[in-house]
Order: sequence, then structure tokens, then C-alpha cells
Amino acid sequence: MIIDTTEIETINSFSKLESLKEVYGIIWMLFPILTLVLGITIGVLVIVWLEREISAGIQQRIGPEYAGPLGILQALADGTKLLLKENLIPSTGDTRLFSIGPSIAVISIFLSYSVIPFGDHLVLADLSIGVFFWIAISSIAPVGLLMSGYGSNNKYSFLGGLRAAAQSISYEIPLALCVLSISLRVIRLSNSLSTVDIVEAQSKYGFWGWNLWRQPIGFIVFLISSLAECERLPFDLPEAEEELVAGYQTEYSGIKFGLFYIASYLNLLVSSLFVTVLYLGGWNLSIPYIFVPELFGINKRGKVFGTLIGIFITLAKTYLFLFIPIATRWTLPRLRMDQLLNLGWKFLLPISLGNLLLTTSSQLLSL
Amino acid sequence: MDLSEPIHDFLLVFLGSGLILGGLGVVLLPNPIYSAFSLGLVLVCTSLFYILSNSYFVAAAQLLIYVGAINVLIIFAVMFMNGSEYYKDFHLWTVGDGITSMVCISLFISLITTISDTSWYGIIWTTRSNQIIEQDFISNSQQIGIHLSTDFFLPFELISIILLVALIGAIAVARQ
Repeated sequence: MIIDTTEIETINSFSKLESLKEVYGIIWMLFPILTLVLGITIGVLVIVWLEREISAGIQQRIGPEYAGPLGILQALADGTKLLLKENLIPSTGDTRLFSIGPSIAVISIFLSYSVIPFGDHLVLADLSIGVFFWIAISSIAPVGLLMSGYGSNNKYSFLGGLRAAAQSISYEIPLALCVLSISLRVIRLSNSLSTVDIVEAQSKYGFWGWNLWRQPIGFIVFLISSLAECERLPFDLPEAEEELVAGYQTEYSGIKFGLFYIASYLNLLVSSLFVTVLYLGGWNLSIPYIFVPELFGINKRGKVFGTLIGIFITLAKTYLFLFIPIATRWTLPRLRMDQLLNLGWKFLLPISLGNLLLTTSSQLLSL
Repeated sequence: MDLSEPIHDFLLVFLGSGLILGGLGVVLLPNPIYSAFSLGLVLVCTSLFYILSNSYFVAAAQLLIYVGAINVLIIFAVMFMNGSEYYKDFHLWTVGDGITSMVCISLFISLITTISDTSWYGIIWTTRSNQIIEQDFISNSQQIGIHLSTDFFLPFELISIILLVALIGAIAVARQ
């Protein structure tokens, strides 16, 4: 009898260990996700600060200077203010749709960060469809915008939501065609569309191996349509303040408005990260004949250092690229709605189709 | 996806309940806007099911086409309707409802009987023996491409012609 009970106890303790292991596994799964979310949030704060400083420079103002050294903490102060503000809900609007809308918009953009490689094979989910996951996920965001536009029971919000949905649907097609013409080469080299393989395919010849030189037309089309997807200034019709007060965000205040604000900057960050991955060689050092892994050896410390260098290079390229969208904001005037749709359907779509045709024929010839 | 058994089961039950709730919402909610949004929920849950069963390409296509295009178009159309018209002539039970429910219940029962009668293991093993050689060399999306340009070439072309006809028709209607 005594032996039996001890046996049962050992079995019980063993199963407890197993369940503990599972719990640890789940926590271990959550750890990289939380790290990524924290990193992205800091990245967004940096973009907000950069935008304020660069706009101030372009307009010959001083910009933020009191919150922290050089005004670094300005974005944090703005966020705190939005958190503490009163949360207004329109009385005749649809409360449920009004509250769900912003969270759908933010979540769908946060999900697309999971396929971005920040360093050498440092990616949250190395899916075989890679970039297409981003395109598929980012097509959910207009549902959230439509929801908030309808839920606030306001003509301006409604029109803004409809404009946002029409714009993002029509500019998604050239974007997908550009990504397709890049991934044709990657499919031939390594049989998958994963973002890691796209970066690896550009790793030879350093700076000259970038997809930017292979796909110059695709790069320009991608740049324009990603600006339109982010609703940045030449294309910010959904929130045009002269026509619609603030578009779909008119009725929002407090942290829900903050969510839309964060979502627009998250979208800007993710699209410039994808420009880095797709066209600018990702985490590679990009100086010909110097390879980072060979510099730091194969031991563990060298590997960690190499990864850190990779993250630094990716972020440096991304933030250097971000100067273009921020400077565009203060350079170009806003388009009209018909000009926007003409540009999308009559100019970008045929050009990106032609680019795809060119790429396909060159792939066939080189086979 | 390579998940451990309890997490996989949990996700399966979670997605399944989301799917059933969304489907009930599409049918039962009186406001058509809510129905359109719960249709979106159903489509998202279906694509997550595809991800859970390792077919990423189908999942991405489902999200892109059904949620990103078709569901947004449905919401567009429903939003332009006047919501209050619907409550006025809202009878609880009509003849049409009776016929529809009869058809739906008979379809449901026949589906249940066929699902329980079919020997799924036999089908899986016969198809897997054919595909096992293909699967080793090429990825999932490439297989779809190969099948589209060999076995299913004629249906593919016919569908593209139908889409072209619809496109030309829409342009012709819009120009008048």
C-alpha cells in the first residue's frame, strides 16, 4: 500500500512537472512577442519625435525643446495627455462599433510586424508566404476604419471611412504586384516567399546587390502606393481637414484617438521596414567584400554582437528612409479624389503590371 | 503550425466557437450592418483555420480576397441602406422563412450524415500516396500553381473569361 501511494505521488508530481513545463513554454512564446511590441512602441515614439524635428527644420521653427533633452520626451508627454483626457462617446452613434473600430485598425497593423526580420534570422514568424501575409493582414484595417466611420454617426466620419476604404483597396493592387515581381526571383532561388529569403537573395555584392537596382520602377511604384496606404500627406484624403473635419477620427477623443494616431505611425514604420527588407538589403552591411558574420567569428559572443549589428543596420536604413516620407509631407500638396483614383488605376496599375511582365520575361530568359 | 496538443485544441475550440457565433450573428441579428461585420468575423476565423492546418497561402488568399475585398464591398453596400426601413416590415415568421428553414435543416442533416458516413482516413491515405513525391520537392503555393496550369487549366481560363465579361459589363453600365 505504501509503495502504491508513493508511486501515485511520483506520477502526480511528474504530471505537475509536465504542466509546469507547458506553462513555461507558453510564457517563453509570449516573451519575444512582448519584446517586439515594446520595441515597436519605442520606434513609434522615435518617429513622432523625428517628424516634429524635421518638420520644424523644414518650416524654420525650433520644434519641441522643453520635454527632456532636445524634446525627446515630447511624444511620451502627448501620449500621457491623451490617456488622461475624457473619453467622449457620441450619444446617437453606435457605441459598440465606435469602440471596436480603432482596436481592429491597430491590431491588424501590429500583426504585420511578425514577419519582419530585424536581424540575421531574427524574425517572430518565418512563414513561407512571408510578404503576402503583410498584404493580406493590412487589408483588414479598412474594415476597422469603416466601422468607426459608421459608428460615430457623423457625415464627415462616414465620408472619411468610405474614402479610406476605397483608397486602401485601390492602392493595394499595385503594392501586391510590386511585391510579386520581387518574389519571383526569390522563388527561383530558394522556393519560398519568406522575408528572410528575400534578404538573403540580396546579400551578394553588398550595395550593388540590392533589389533597388533590379527593380527601379517597382521601387517607385511601391514608394507611392505605400505612402497612399499609410494615408500620408499627398494622399491624406480620408482626414483632409479642409473638406472633412478630421475624417473618420472626428468624433474620437482621448486614448481612442491616440490609437488612430499610433496606427498611422505604426503603418509608416512597417512600410519603411518593408522597403528596407524588400529593396534595401535588410540586415546586411551593404559594403561590398565585407561580411559581418566573418568579422566576429563563430563563437557565441560574436554571434550576439553580429545580431545586434544586424538590428542596428536594419533600423538605421529604415530611419534614413523615413526622411523621404516626412519630407514629402511638407513638399507636395494634397491630391483631389479623382486625381487619386486616376493615379492609382490609370498610372500605377499598368506600370506595375508592365514591371511584372518585364521581370517575368527576364526570369524566363535567364533560365 | 507546430503547436503542442493542448494549445492546438484550445485554438481549434476557440476558432470554432468564433465561427459558429459569427454565423449565427449573420443570420439572426436584425441590423444588416452587424450582420455584415459578423460575416467578416466568420471569414477571418476561416482563414485562421487554414493557418492552423498549415496551408498559409490559402489563408492569405482568403484574407485578401474575402475579407479585404468582398466583405468590404458588402459593408459598403449595406452602409448606404437606410437602417430604419428594416424594422418596419419585420414580421416574425413568414412562408418564405418556413421554406428557407426547411431547406437549410435538410441540407444540415444530409451534411451531418455524409460527414459521419465517409471514411476520412481512406481518402487521406489514397491522396497522400500520390502527393508524397510532389510534396518533398516543392512548396505549397507552387503546387497550387502547377495544378492550376495543368489539371485545372480549363476551369481557370473559363473563370477568368467570366471575370472579364463582368468587368466589361460593369464598365458599360457605368458609362451610360
